[in-house]
Amino acid sequence: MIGRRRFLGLLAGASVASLAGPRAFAIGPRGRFRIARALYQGGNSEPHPDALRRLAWEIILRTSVDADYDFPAVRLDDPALFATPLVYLSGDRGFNPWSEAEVANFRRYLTLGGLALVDDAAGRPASDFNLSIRREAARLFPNAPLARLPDEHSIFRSYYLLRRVGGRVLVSPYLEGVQLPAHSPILYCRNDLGGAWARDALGRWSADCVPGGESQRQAAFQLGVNVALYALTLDYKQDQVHLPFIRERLR
Amino acid sequence: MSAEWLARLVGEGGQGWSRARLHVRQFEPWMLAAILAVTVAAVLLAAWGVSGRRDVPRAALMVLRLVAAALVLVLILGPAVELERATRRKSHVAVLVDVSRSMSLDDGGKTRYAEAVAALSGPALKAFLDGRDADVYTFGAGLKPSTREGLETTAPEETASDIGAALADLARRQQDRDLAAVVVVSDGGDAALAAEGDLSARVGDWPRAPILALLAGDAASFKDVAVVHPRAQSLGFVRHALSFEAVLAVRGLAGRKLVATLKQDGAPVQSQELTPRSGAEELPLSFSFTPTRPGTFLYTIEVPPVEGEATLDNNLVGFAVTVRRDQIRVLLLAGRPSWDVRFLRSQLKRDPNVDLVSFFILRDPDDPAGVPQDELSLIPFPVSELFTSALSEFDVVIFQDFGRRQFLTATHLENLRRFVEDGGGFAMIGGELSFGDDYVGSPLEAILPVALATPRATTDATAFRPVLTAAGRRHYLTRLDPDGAETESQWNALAQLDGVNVVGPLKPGSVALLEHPRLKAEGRPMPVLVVGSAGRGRTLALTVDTGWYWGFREAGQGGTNLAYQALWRNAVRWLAHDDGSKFVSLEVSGGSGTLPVKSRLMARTRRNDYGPLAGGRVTLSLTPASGGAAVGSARGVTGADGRFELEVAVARAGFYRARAVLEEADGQAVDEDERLLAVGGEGEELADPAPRPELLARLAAATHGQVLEASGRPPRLDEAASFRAGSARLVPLWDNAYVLSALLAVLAGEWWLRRRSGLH
Repeated sequence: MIGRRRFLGLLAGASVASLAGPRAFAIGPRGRFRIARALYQGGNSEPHPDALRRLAWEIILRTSVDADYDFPAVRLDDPALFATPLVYLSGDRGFNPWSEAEVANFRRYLTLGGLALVDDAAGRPASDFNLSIRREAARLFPNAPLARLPDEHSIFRSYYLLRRVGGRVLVSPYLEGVQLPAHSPILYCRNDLGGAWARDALGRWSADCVPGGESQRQAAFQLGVNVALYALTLDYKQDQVHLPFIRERLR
Repeated sequence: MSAEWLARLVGEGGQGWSRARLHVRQFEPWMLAAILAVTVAAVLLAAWGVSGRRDVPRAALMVLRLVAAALVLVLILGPAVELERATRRKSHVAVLVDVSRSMSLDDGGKTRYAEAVAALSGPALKAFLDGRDADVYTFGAGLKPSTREGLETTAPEETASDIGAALADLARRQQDRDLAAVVVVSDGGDAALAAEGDLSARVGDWPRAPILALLAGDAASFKDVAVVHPRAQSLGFVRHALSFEAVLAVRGLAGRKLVATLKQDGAPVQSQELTPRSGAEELPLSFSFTPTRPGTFLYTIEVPPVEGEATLDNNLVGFAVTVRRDQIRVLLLAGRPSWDVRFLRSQLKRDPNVDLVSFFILRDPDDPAGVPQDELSLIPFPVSELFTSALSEFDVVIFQDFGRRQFLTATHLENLRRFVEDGGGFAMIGGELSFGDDYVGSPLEAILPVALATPRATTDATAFRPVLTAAGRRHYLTRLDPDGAETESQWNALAQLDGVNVVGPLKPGSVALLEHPRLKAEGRPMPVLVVGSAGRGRTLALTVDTGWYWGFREAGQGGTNLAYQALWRNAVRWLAHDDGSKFVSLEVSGGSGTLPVKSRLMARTRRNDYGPLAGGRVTLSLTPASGGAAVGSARGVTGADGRFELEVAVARAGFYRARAVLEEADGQAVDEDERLLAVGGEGEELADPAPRPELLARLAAATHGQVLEASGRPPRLDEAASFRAGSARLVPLWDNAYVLSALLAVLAGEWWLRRRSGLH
């Protein structure tokens, strides 16, 4: 093993001071980082149509990720779902139970490495979307229920070192998720991230972030960036080489 | 009194009696006491009867009465003479002369063996042996009959000296004969016996005769440096320290500075300096060496010759060590996070045989993070360290959409080139920065298996399905099924890819496994997946950044991700020269025993699916590890079980390199394997050949024998055993007329004298 001590020694003498470099691009548009939008029956699967575009713009701006502005809407039972390993599943109201085909395909997608960012856009604790998603999550992973993600989860350190969860509202101060041995296939935020990301046609924010204002919006973008980087790197930030730096900065 | 005189006295003279012994009747002690008491009482009574009488010859009467009592006592005790006619023969001794290799050493102008042979004619032994029946034997590993004359023409060439076994064998051979002594002439070079603390347990197996030990060799003038008691493991792992231990036995070289060196395949890797303080010292040697690549290596611990050394044969010990990987260490550098990188990283992380270190470029220099640096999880990129000191810690380096600008200097790339040429693996995977112009003319370009595009690098974003080549149907990387057609069918069924780096043609010696269906490079289909080599290393180029389609996307569309998993599992192993990727493996047996020894080489060949390869062309050879002509080789075709064997008789001891090469029909090597074989030889005989006078002294002491000096006095023996009984006769001294007549005469005389004196 190349031990932690060995690499700490390496890093102590490192002459290049960041993992920053010239931008690299995908060979073709389909090689880019693309987020799919989940379609489902009932409810409203696109409460903030502009949200993903704004998130992609921020990802491109802030990171080396070559993100795409195309966000294909895909049904959960569609094999095309596998063309996009990250799917954004949002809504502001309850939706119909998924078909068995949808559950089977989506479970296979999530088990084989796909990731779902679930965003409750209802903006209130008592949300039908919340009830619907918990119902379907229990069908997807009966043995791995949605639960609060620990503070040391990679989602909170995949790019930014996050200490809070932003969003348009603050329904929940933490993220929930389903954890499998290899990765967490479902990340669930109840704070309407899309509402914080979205702008109107004139470029103004679609909604105010309450109660934290712009810092809360920035926290929402930071979480969005972290979700993108988590989807692309998974537990990369849990590698031994990263941990000492992260612990020092979180101190 | 001589036996003959006594025999004549008892009327048995002139018959050549050589020994006479007196016997009397055996009585119980109380009976004997009673007889003596009665006799004394009778004498006292007789004396009392004549006391006070002046009229009788008291003295004469007392004498007669005492004589009569004595004669009666003779009759009661019944004395007899045992006459024995015995012969005196020459006593029988055995002479054991050491003929092991150490006896050929010269401690001062003459070999030990020559000294030994001369000693048998010297003052200590010549007369001794001439006066006795001497059975002469030589011994090394075993006992062999010889003669004193035969010793002159015998050469000391035995590869062991086992004094204990020789004595035990002698006891069996001589069990019907009484041995007066066993003469052992040796340098005491039986290290095993010398190491035994107490010899009394062994004496029971040896002849019941004293050992007369004579040392051959001069312990005082002996000079030698020997590397003895070697210890090392035969199996090690890359990047795990191997330890080699031995003892430097130094004799007669007090104060001399000595340097012991550990070598790997002849190349020095570590040295130790030692200075013995006394004339006989054993200095521990300990080396630790961390191999950086797998293989079978000959490690030696060597000490340079010292002037006047008895032998140079023990200045080196060797170890054949097979070094394997515990895990394949992979360094993955990605120019940006992408789905392609993510799935490759996940695949490598899942592989239990891979130890992965990965670095992603997460942020471009001009990207506004919007927060202070310490709110980011970014870490420094230790590029200089990775491409200098740490590079050798990896087996495989992968560049995935990784450009050289701002990161890699020409020195870094030169180090990477050297890493590959020294046996490392390198793969470049497609992306906008891969196969780019900034690699043109760099050391990295030299090791890529494919030429870079000219005049400048471009990409083609058109979707395409790569075409499996004929080589791809067979190759370890891309073979998905034992049947090449099935492999091709499976590749053809995989998802289309989006876009490709445009590259030049294959480099000489490289093999395209996948090709572009439309794009050309110098008129031939443009390679998409290429494997090649650079020096001892292997290289791979995959010119797409949507390879992950073969995994995740394929699995979602009704297929499986097995092709993707197999490709990368095999690719990493192939790049790292993993044993598991070999198409031929070699097994070697034999090597111990008396020279010449028979060694057996067996090549086991495999198809890409690891089934036995029937009809494979194989060349087997066995060559001295130090170089030179092969001692045996054969070229042939494997049987249905995929095996091909060769038996070689090896006449000289040493290390040999066995090699199996699997060849194409045109003679081009497909794969090869090799092993090191240690063949028989001296064993411990010359490991520490110092004369051991103390062992000979212990042998003599344990058998109540003596240590002899070649020029000293002959040994003294209790040679009672040299008398052999012949005929014997028991002649009674009382059962004859003389004794009876004497008694009657004495009694008659006493009666006549008493009557004459008037006594009754």
